[in-house]
Amino acid sequence: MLDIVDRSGPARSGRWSFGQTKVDLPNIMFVESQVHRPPSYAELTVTSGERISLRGSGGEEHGSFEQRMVKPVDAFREATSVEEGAHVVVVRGKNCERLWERQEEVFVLGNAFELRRDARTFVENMVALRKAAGPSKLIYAPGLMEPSNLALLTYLGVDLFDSSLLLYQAARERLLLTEGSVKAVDAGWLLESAGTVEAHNLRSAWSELMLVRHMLRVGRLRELVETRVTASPWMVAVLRLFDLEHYEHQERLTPVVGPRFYSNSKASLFRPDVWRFRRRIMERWEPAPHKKVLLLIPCSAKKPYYTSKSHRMFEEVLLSIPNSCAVQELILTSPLGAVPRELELFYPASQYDIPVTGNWDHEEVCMIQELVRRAASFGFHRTISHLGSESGFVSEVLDCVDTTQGQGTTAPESLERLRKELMEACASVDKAPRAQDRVEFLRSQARYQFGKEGGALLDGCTVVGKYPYLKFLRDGVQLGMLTPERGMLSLTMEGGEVLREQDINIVRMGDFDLGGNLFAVGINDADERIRSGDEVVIMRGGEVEGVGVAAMSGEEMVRLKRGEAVRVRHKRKRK
Amino acid sequence: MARLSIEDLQSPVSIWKEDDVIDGERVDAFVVILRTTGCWWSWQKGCLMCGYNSASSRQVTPQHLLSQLAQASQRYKGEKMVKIYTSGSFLDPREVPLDIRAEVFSIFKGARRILVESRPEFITEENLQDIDRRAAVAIGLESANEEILKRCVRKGFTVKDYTVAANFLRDARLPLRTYLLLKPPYLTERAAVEDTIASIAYAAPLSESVSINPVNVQRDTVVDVLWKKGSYRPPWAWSLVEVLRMGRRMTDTRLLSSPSGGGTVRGVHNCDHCDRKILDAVQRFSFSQDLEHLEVPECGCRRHWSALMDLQDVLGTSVDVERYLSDELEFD
Repeated sequence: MLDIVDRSGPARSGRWSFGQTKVDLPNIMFVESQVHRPPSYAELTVTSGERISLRGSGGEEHGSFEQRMVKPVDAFREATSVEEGAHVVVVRGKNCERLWERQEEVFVLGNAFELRRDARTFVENMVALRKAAGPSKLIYAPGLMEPSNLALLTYLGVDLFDSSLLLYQAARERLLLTEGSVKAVDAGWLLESAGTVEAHNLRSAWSELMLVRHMLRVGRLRELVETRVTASPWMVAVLRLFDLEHYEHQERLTPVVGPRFYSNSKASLFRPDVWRFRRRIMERWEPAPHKKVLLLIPCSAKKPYYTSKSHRMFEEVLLSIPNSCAVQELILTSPLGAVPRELELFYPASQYDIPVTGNWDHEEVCMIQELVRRAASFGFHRTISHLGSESGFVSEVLDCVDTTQGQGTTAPESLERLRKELMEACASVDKAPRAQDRVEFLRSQARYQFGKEGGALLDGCTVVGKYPYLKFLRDGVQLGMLTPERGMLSLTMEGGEVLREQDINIVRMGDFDLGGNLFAVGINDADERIRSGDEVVIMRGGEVEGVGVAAMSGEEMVRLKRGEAVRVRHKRKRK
Repeated sequence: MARLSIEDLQSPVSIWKEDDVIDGERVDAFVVILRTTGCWWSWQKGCLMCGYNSASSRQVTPQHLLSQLAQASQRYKGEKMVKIYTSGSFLDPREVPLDIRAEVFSIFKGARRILVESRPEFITEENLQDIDRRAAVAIGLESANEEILKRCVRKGFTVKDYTVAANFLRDARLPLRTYLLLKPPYLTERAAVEDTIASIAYAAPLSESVSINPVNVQRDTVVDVLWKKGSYRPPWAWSLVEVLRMGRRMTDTRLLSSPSGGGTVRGVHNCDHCDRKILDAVQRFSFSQDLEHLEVPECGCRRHWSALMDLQDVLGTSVDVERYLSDELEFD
């Protein structure tokens, strides 16, 4: 049985149990043979020979499969083979479907070792297998793992590794590091502590596994992966193909909340959570009707932006101007492109950190230009660019007034020019009432969070509170509030009713009384659009039973048998 | 296939002399490879590792065969053993018509034994009715495992077919030499070694001698395609030694091996350092049957082979692991 505990992008960690054996995942199965003994820290073992048997370190067998005839991977480009073992299934090729219906729990990525030559086939077969097996099954990739690729393989969804390549490389006198491999004779300094090449390689992989589990726990595996992949072209290619060609697959598994993170490499631009933000802006965002002036400003290192010194200065300028509610602020940044002011609290806008040098590479420029063009397409009366050094490539794609004129954005002269331009622009457009502005501010958030239909949450609402602690009420009844700690809107039961009407993020539970939180085992159906971290509505029969936060994706709620699925915030009061 | 000249059609593919053993006695052997219309199976699907039909030609006529035999008889100096191969089945009347079969036995009058090779489907009472009593027959069983024979060799006959033929030869008191293939494709090194050992156990009681043929990668075969991609490696010489050692302990039937392409990248090999020594040892053993002759000095590559034997199954691949890994740029 699998109990997923942590998720980081498409990777997961958790507990796996069979019989009396209980171990953490991901994990390494250490080869046990006449020649090789597993190290003392081994939790799982695998025996070599005609029958490959997967066992707990106590000797208890989970299952086994035969490796009688192993055709090379080329034989499975068209035809896919599904070979049945005992509690284990070996899948070769990418045309596999509906494997989640099977009883077996462990699925072997066949010919995995050979895929180290072919990044594309590796990614395709791995994605196909995960899609077909679903989240409740374990994927074992034999013969492929070494310390340098352990993080990447975990990120793609591999749960089980073995030590065969570590041992084979030891026989070749190769010491394996996360950075690559060196000849044992050239690396005496590494052997001093380990003793033997074999012991070094096993230990090296084990400590990388521990680091990978830690990074999963803190939700930052992606960054470790980005640092590791540069050790080989195969790994760079795997991550790039996985990002560029399998965004939908990754995105489904990626939580909508997360910790602060570094966005340091080119690959960071294509993290699924970062990419999702840009896509949601393109697909879900549009300015409120009363927003007639577009103001482009730079990002700040401090997050959320409004707490930074520079943004407080911009805010002061805005507050000094009559009718400033007509201004739509848009913050330009990498890797997110463009962040409308009202989304600054939403993940990952207040979590990312980038190296700031003033040098923008081609992808970043294109991405920002695309989003600025999109924002400008809504037909603002005027666009003001207060960007300093970044103004160059923005002015290439739209007509705007540059208020920095080559000076810094916080220079008194720049701020004064900004004030003047805003004053003039705001005076020339319709008056925008502050109360309406506050409602639209939250409506934009609701659209971002729930999709366009989510905007209905704000229909007929009034907003109370001081930013960022804003509540929205309909006829005096609170529907929800902006929670800056989550970077999301949190709903009341009444807010949940609105989601139910819109058929958004519905989780259908079985017919029982909700005790505390809702577990996967009690769920009959769930909206596929739900991501871990999302606000969801729990339905029991035809009625809203509770509202809360998803702890797993909608697909996982349906497929997994264990684990907390929804952390319940409110539940129906029973008389 | 290129058209052959009349000279080629009238000449055997090859003639050479070597040593062999009859009833425990080392004797001179005369070997001739006739050019025939070739193995019928190779014109159908063919075996995965066999490229011998490149020496055959459908233009060959009985007249051509007679000319080839005439050439052979000129070179024959009364060796006690004669071995006639056709890159197919000598006993297939489509390859070697019956009157020419008779001619062969009359040409080599001085021979005590004439070994011919054939697929089992031609080893029948009807086909062997008047066969010369000096005849011995060799069958390339390759593997005694039906599944391996079918999927890894694509032999076109079954172990059962072989067994029926072998029993017939025993009843007819014709000696049988069984050829076994060491390491057909799609097997790990360990699986290959175990398969050949198991095949010795099966074939030895039915045979007068068992000859181990480690795969030699022949051009224009399925194995050749695999090998070029790094998806196949011929057996290690250590594997051959292991097979002979284990086989010797299981049976008194004579075991021999005379690997073609031994010590080259396409044939059975370890490393440059030890290949020659091991192949020499194998040859000595083939005559003496003495396990002491298989004792060869240790070599650094043996550790490498042991690791492969132990780990390749978990690695889950039958490819040339070394070639896959050496493609990669390491910090050297």
